[in-house]
Amino acid sequence: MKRDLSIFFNIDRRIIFLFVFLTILLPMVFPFSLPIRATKHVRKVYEAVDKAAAEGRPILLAFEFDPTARAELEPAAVAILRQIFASGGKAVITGVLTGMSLHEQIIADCAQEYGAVYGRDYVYLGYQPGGPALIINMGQDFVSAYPRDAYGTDVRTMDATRNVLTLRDFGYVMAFSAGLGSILNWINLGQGPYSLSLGATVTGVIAPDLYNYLDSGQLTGMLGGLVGAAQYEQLLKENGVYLMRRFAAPDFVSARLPALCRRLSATDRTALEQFVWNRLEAKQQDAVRATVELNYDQLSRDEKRILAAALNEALEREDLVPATDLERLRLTEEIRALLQKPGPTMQKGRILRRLYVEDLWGPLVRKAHSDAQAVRWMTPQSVTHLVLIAAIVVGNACYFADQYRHKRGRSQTLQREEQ
Amino acid sequence: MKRSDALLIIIFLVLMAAINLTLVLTHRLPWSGRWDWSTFGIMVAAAITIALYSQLYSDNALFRMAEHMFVGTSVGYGLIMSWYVAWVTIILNRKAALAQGLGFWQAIREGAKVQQLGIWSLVVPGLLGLMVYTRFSRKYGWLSRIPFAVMIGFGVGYSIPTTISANLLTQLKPMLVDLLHGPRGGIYWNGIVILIGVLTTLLYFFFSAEHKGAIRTPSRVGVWFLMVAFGASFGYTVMARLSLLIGRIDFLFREWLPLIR
Repeated sequence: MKRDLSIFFNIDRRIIFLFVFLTILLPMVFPFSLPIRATKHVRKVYEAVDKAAAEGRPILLAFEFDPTARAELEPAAVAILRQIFASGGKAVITGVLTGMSLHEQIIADCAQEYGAVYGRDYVYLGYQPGGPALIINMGQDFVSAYPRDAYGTDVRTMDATRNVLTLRDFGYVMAFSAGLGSILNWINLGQGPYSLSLGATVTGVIAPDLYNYLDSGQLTGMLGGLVGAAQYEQLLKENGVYLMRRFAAPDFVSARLPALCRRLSATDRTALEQFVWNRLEAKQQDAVRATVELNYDQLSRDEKRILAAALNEALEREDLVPATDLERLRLTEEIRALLQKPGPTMQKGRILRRLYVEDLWGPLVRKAHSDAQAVRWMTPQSVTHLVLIAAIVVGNACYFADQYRHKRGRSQTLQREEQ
Repeated sequence: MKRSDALLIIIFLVLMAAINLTLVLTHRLPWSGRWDWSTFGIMVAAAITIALYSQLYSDNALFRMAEHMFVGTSVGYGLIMSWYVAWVTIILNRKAALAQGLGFWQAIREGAKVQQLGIWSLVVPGLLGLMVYTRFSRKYGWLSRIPFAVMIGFGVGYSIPTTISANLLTQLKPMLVDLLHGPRGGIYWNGIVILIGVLTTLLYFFFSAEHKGAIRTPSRVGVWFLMVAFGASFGYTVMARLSLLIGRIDFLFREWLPLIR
């Protein structure tokens, strides 16, 4: 018995690391889904963003994270941008010094997915030095804090920022914070003095420190760590935001492009495919043909973007898909219910045309769209948590059993000595 | 550097080059035919990720190399970006200076105009910022105290009222509510838990009296509240660290080695 228990107290840490690695990898290789339900605090963020977008008021997204917090905060940033763009809202985004390239990539990908236009639907202001003083400055005079965007354009000339004079002009402010200091700055210097409607997306490490601000109403809602992002993605799914996505270049890169190219270079093109084909220049058409003939990717990244843009443009045109084809679409009950649901995030026509393309090109296109990153990552996370809980319970049971055994051994020794 | 360390690094680099070459030749990693920085970035990121995680096995030269590269790159990137954004773009307004062929002072004036500020609003903070760098000189190092004094003075002056308001007065609100009539009707149980938690935890940190007699039990309850808070905090921390690991594993096995689809 003694020897058996000692095994649990002297496990090589590398075995534990390997165990954790496998519990993460296996659910990724053999994926399955677990139910996710949005909490009150996540739902409140969703409702606040939807309300601001419906009122046509810009939403400030303070991206105060860099690649070190990417895994935790990027899924939430993507989800909120998708919601804003899908509901026709305006996003004004600020950045931090070491995260600007990452932010630009996230914003560009989301904008392309929903056809958002720079200046009209979103503006990226980039980094400005100042830290807490910058928040004070934004509260007093937004234009003097950010006179120009990250690319040198005057903020007063762009639709998204034209009417913003102070922080109070934003319908909602969402701070994406990788550190406690930056979110506390927003609460102390932004929410308090200017009575902002403020939400927080934070890393898991600092999330427990912010629950008291939720209770006091200083934060309207919070997305804490990856689980918060997964719950938000679930809300996007329930409200049909993913169905409104267009075909973005990053998805094409990972998709099985040759088969898509085969459809485009075939002779029996549909009106929609013909439209896309006509949008390509001769050399791009050659690259599409070469991709089919050589059976591997001959398209450069830029050419893929052009192809994606052409397909996106096609989805915006109502005349390219016959109404009879749209009527023939086999819709699931879930989608039918979604299409009947009123709300600002619904654009029925675009959803139907997207479903038409998915029907036309089959599972290939569906596969190309990874809808929810955080939801996908939550399965390995949950499995690992369960394994860790089991390990903690077993470890504690072993510890107490060991303590009991020692105590019993000592009392037996004492009894023997007394005898 | 020890010979074994150099050998380890060389073997690792050769191995990575061989894997990447195989991935590109078998078209598992997209390569557009020209110099593809994006794919090269994936290769470098994968190599550094593996090198950093190699520390989990034991401390080694690969980990130290990757760690030093990370520190050097992030400091260098931060330095150049802050120089470029703060000095070249905001204060000197390089874009206008180049376009209009402006001199140093004219460029600063133009920068001030863009920021809708008087020229001194840029020059004075700029000079204060430069003073920080006098830390590198023994003779003029004392000058660096001036900008720090300004920053601390401003920070303390502004943050005291806002912090008291946001972190003390507003925080008292959820505790000072009608406990018999909650937001959903009936007794406000959450409010009662919050009230007990605050009072007992405060009592635990009351060290002017020994925790005996009437104080003993409430202070024990306070400790339990603290333990629950620490547990929640630790649980969230574990979740956060796992999320980062999941992000890296997803990158390695989805973007680099296409094993997960």
